[in-house]
Formats: sequence, C-alpha cells, structure tokens
Amino acid sequence: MSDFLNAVISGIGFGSLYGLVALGLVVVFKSTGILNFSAGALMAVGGLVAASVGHGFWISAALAMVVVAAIGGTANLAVMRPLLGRGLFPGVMVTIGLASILQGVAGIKFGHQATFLDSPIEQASFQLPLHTTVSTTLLVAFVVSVTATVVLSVGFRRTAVGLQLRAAASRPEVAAAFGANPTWIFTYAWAAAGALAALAGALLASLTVADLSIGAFALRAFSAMIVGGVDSLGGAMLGGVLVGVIELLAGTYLGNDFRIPSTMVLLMVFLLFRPQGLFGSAEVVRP
Amino acid sequence: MTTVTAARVPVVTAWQLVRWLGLAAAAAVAIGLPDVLTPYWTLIATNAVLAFAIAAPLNLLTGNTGQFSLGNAAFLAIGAYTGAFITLKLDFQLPLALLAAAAVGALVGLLVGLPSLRLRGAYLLMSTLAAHYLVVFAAQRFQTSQFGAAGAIFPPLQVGGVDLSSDRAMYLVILAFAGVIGLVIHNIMHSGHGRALEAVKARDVAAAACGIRVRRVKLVVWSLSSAMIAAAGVLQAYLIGAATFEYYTLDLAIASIAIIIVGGLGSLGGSLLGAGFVTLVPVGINRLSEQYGGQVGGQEQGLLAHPLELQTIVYGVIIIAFVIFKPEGLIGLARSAGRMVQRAVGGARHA
Repeated sequence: MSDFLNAVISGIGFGSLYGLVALGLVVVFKSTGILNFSAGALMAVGGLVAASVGHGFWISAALAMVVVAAIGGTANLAVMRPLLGRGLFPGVMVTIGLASILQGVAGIKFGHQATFLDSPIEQASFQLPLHTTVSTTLLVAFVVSVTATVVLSVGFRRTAVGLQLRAAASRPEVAAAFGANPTWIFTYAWAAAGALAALAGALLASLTVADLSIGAFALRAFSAMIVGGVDSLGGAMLGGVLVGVIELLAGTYLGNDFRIPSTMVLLMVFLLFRPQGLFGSAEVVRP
Repeated sequence: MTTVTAARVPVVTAWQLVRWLGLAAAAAVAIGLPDVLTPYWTLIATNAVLAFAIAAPLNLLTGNTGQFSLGNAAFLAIGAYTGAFITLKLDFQLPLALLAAAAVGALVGLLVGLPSLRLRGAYLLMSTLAAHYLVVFAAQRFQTSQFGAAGAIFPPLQVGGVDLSSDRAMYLVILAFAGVIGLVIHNIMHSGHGRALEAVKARDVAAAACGIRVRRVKLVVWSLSSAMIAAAGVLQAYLIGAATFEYYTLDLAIASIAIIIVGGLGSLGGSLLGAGFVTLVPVGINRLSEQYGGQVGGQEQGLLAHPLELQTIVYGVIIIAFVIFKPEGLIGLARSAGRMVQRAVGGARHA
C-alpha cells in the first residue's frame, strides 16, 4: 500500500513537471502549428543556467527562465518565422536542429561535469501517514505547475495578448487585419514555452543533477500533450500527471526498465483510441 | 505486305548516353575506391554507402509517400537482433540473415504503418515515436535474454567459408547491398507505383478518387521500406561488430532524416548526396580540429578545441539552413547546376 501511495505521490510530482513542458508544447503548437522537439534542450539549458547562477533556487530559476525565454523568442524570430504554413515536417526538423545547436553550445559553455542546484525548500522531504514520504521539491513542482496552468489559462482567455494569440492561431491573416501582429504574438508564445521549459529544467536539476541528459525527460511531455489533447492547457497538465503516475507505478511494480515503455504504451493507446486526448477538440486537424 | 518502320529502333539520345556512361564510370570508381584509399578512408566510404542504404528506403517512405517517421533506428535494431539470432544462435549465414531481417522488418513495418491509416501529421509522428521506444525496449529484453548484458557480439563476416571481414571486402559487400537497394527503389519510383506514392503524398483523398488503393499503397511502402532498413541493420551490426540496444537512439533515427533533408526529399540521388555530405562533415571537423584545435601555450583555441560540440552545432545549423533556404536539398543544387551546363552546351551548339 505504501509503495503504491509513494509511487502515486511521486508520479504526481514528476508528472506536473512533464505537464509544465507540455504546456509549452501546447502553447507553441496551438499558435504556430509547430511541434517543438527542442523542448528537452531548452529544459536542459534551463537547468544548467540555473545551476551556474548559484544564488539559491528561486533567484537561479527566475534567471534561467528569463534566459531561456529569450532563447525561445530569438529562435522564433530567427528560424521559426519562415516556416509558418509550411506544414509539420520543416518545423519538426528545424526544432531538432535548434536542439542540436543548443546542446553543442551548452556543452562548450557548461562542460560535461554534472553540477547541482539547491532545493527550493531546506527540508528535503516530510512524512505523511501510511509510511508515505513527500519530497518538498516535488510538492513545489506541483504547486508551481498548477499555478502556471491557471495563469496561462486565464491569460489566454482574459488578456489582450491571449485573445490575439488565439485569433492569430486560427486565422493569422484576419488577426493581422484587425491589428494583431502574429510575429510578436508567436514570439511571446515561444518565450513562454522557453520559460516553462526552464522552470521544469531547474526543478529537475534540483531533484537530480544539472546536465544535458535531463533533456530526455521532455520525451514524456509529448505523451502528456497527446493524452491531454493537443490544444488544451489544463489537459496538458492533467496528461502530464497521468503520464507521471503511470510511469512511476510501472517503475515500482514492473521495474525501472518499464518506465519509459509504459508512457509510450499510454501514448499509443490514446493515439489509437482517443487521438483528441482527454480534453482536446475532436476537429483539430493540423496535417 | 509488311513495312519496316524506323520507329521501332530504340533511339538513344546523346544525353542518355552521357548518363549511362556516367553511371558506369561511377560504378567503376565506387568498386575501385578501396584500392586507392587508405583503410581509414575506406571505412568512411563504407559508412557513407551504408548511410545511403538506410536513408534511401526512408526517403521512399517520407520523401515520396509523405509518411514522416522517427522509427528507422528501431528497424535497424530489428535487423541487427534478427541477424544476430540467425547467425549466432541458429548458425546460418549472412544471406539468410538478411532475408530473415527483411521479413521481420516487413512485418513490424506493417504494424507500425497501421496507425497511418487513421492518423496524420503530428499524431502519426507521435505513433512512430512510441513505436521507436517500444521496439528498442523489446530489443533490450531480447538482448538480455539471448545474448547477455554486453550485447550480441558478431564474429568477423564469413560467407561460404570466404572471409569478408577485411575493410575492402566489407566495403564491397555493403556497396553491393546498397546497389540492390538503389536499383529496387529506382524501379519503384519510375513505375506506376512510384506515381501512386506521389499521389498519396500530395492528397490521399484525390489519389483514392483516381483509383489508387491508398491504404494498400501506404502499408506496402511502410513494410517495404522497413524491410530494407532492417536488412541494412544486419550489415550495420556486422560493421560495428556488435548489437547493443543503447546504440539505437532517437538521434540515430534523426541522422537518417537529416540525410534525406540535406540530400533532397523524394530523390534517390538526393539520398546519395546527403549520405556523403552528412558522413563527411564530422570527418572534416575532426580534421580541422586535429590540425588547428590543439592547445596553444595551455590556452584552448576557441571552437576548434571542442570538435564534438562543434559537430553537434554544425549538424543543427546544416539541418536548419537546408530546411529554410534549400528545401529541395543538395540534389536541387546539382540539378540547377546540371541545367546550367546543359543550357551552356546547347547554347554553344546552336551558336
């Protein structure tokens, strides 16, 4: 029983990190139609930048978010803009190329020695009844992720930028005719994706170590995105949590080798039986 | 009464002749290459030819039929482990291993292709991503149960008692294999089937309206290309000397996609140019780094002191540059150069 509860609790914590990255994927996919394969690299760079600052967790994470948001925004202006309307393949390949460049530059800048980042809260974990332990970093991850989801959802619905973003996503020409500037709107979307990835990267770095390999965690964000429904922010977060819980349960009861395959089985099941995900709209077609 | 018409005699134009002569010359050069190259460069040539044999079937699937797949490293793994099982456990030889790998590859390719009947775009891509990890996981299980943690270690290649493990022999074996792959794909592309693939890529609803059986075409291409990639996986494992599941990463799959992007989507010549280019770039960077990247007075000399990172960066830049500025790839450059030459020659003739 306590194994089960521990797996579920850690799964929710890790899953909310996948959800954070998936939020960034959804924001970019929703607005520009680009499936962002550089999320892992952005995340790793976020973790590395945060670990190199060395002023406690919160300041370091905030700085990393600013830096990676700038990288995301610049990437949009420099290489994503020419791809609008060119379909799936070019976007995926350019983001893969971007990931490659980021990894190379980060390798030179930060070296390959793993570094560490402080925890957000001194006390590493606390006990709950039924022999369950909660890592405070995972708790912070969960709270931060839910907050980010709420802030983004409200921002999408209630702010001028959010309205323009949704308009530009569905009909860029019409939105432009009404005064929205798709270039800047999409740049904000990329910056937001970068900031979210950096936040997830910083949290992961404080949970494990800061090096390029933590980018591999972003893989689960794709599962989270599909499970939640590619165009739903709340869905992405819930999808992330579901992926995290399934992954840790598989890890606990089947062995660590089964962690990634279990998330991929979940992804496959959703693709085959419910491609619109839990909360996505069924008519979304972006060939 | 019968009349003999001159129209029956096959007409060979000057350009066709030039092409055939060019092809024959290229084949002769390709076969003679290891006689003039050092073993180091022979190995690089072998890698390039193998990269072509892997990229060309992927190009048929992605470039010609429009099915974007991240699954090719998984098919290489399927080939490698099928080959390992056939040769190491069952004691059969390479030809049978190639056939068996192709058969298993075709079957799994059919399964991985099934979602393509329902899904498109990002969803289809995600299904190939899931397939990649599931196949590699299966490979890991198979490796541990059959060969142990170190992986399947291949002996030097021998067929019918003839030792084929020298650099030169390996090169020729892989060259012959790549030649067969190239010929098969060339014939598919220049037949009605090839036009059916292009139609499915352009608009599958319209293709169906033209009488093309879209579902069948998609599944056939998925299994055919997967069969060829799996067969190439056997040779790749022999070249490396081992099959270990850690080798079959998503990056390996992406490397083949990079080749067809750089070379040119939907073109056999593009696959060849791309394979050469993408194989040679890291070699070139290593050379530069060896010559100029050393430490000078204990001071590291900029970028060239980090050849690995530099390779990663250049690789990314190349992919982005081709997608944005030259989507038709190197073959597009070669074609426009060819047209310029043709025009220049034609112009000279008419002058």
